[in-house]
Amino acid sequence: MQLEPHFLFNTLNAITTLVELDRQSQAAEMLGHLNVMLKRTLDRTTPEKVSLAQELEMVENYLAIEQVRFADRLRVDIKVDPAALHSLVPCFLLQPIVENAIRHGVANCEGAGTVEASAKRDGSRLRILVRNSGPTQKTRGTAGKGIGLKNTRERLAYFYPNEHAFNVGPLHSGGFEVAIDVPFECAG
Amino acid sequence: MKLKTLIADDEPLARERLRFLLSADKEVEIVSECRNGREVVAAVRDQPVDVLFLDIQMPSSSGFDVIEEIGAAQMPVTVFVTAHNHFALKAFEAQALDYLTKPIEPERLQGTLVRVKERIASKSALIAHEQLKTILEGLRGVAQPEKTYPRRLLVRNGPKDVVVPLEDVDWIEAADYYSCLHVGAKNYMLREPIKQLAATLDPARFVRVHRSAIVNIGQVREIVREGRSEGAVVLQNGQRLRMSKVGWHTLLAATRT
Repeated sequence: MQLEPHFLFNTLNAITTLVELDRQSQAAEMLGHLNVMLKRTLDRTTPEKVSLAQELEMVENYLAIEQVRFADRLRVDIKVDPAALHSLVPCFLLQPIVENAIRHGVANCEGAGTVEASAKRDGSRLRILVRNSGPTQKTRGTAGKGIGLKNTRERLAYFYPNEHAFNVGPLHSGGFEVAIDVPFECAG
Repeated sequence: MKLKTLIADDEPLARERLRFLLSADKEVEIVSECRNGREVVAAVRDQPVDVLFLDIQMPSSSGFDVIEEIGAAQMPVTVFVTAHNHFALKAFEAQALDYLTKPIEPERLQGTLVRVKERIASKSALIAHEQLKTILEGLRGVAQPEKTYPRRLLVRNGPKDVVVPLEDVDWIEAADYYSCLHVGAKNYMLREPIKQLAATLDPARFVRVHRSAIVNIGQVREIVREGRSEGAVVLQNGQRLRMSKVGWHTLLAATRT
């Protein structure tokens, strides 16, 4: 799993812009987020699990960067049950899904778009939801065929053969939902 | 003269950067900023705009949709801006003056502004000329619509598209469904039969001297007569091309103007 080259390219452009515009503190903040993401990426070896807390850190840094690019057009809402934070998940599980949610949702919205992520422990299961608001199904191409989601599907099958659920589908309100259901494993 | 400029990009930071880069040019006056295609259409219809910097990928309607909706003839001088260069061909087909890839380099933008100003100057010269002509024609009682001709051709060359300015083309040779553009020491194969191509070129600058050849009048050095109906033209570079009787007459008529 790797960071999208486009993401890196857009982020560096954004940092250049911030520096040119004399917005040093924002530029430094963005570099900080990028730094965390690169560091985590280098630290991890792919077939590995990390705590949900660590995975969320990646996602939060990613979203913070995108929020500078999209400004008031991107709203982020993350709700995580504290009991779920210690659960193990495959590393880089969420970031591609959130990336997809932005690329296909918010980036295509004229107005503001929302990305919502939630996770909770339900007995022996961990349930994760990622949703975006976006244009209705008619105006978008075939969803769920992107490399990101195909990878996710394969990796879940690799880590949890026959004991996971992965559902992707449009929402009535417009937008998309990705639902993941895996066994709760304590990070210890 | 101030250039009334419109910036259209869906990303706030991208708009800010372009505004910043454009602020280096005192002639540029940003009259409006738009976040999507709908706003561009409204802004162009709402006020006079000289130049439009148009991001191709915007939510709900792309830069190309904007041109379609406003109509190419009503568009301000348009410069496309995009992160990807695979839209270049389509951009030039849509009559864009220029095509900038992100991140926009300040030097590159300066070059673009020079071309924008040239275009606007020649446009206003054309309008003045046009107005004079209309008055004269009004006096004479005839009116002829002004036709515009392409200034460059876009030729597919493997994974790239090459922009060939027409003024650089020495002559064009027929090659079945293709036309071979002879440009100095280079040749380009354009996927368009010579007959079709001939119809789109400015007759005051390009003459079909033979079924299989079009010449750039500016490149003609000599006209050689070889009997009653046959002849040849010799180009500046020494290239000799056969000329038919019809071609000869057209060339003579065109060189007189």
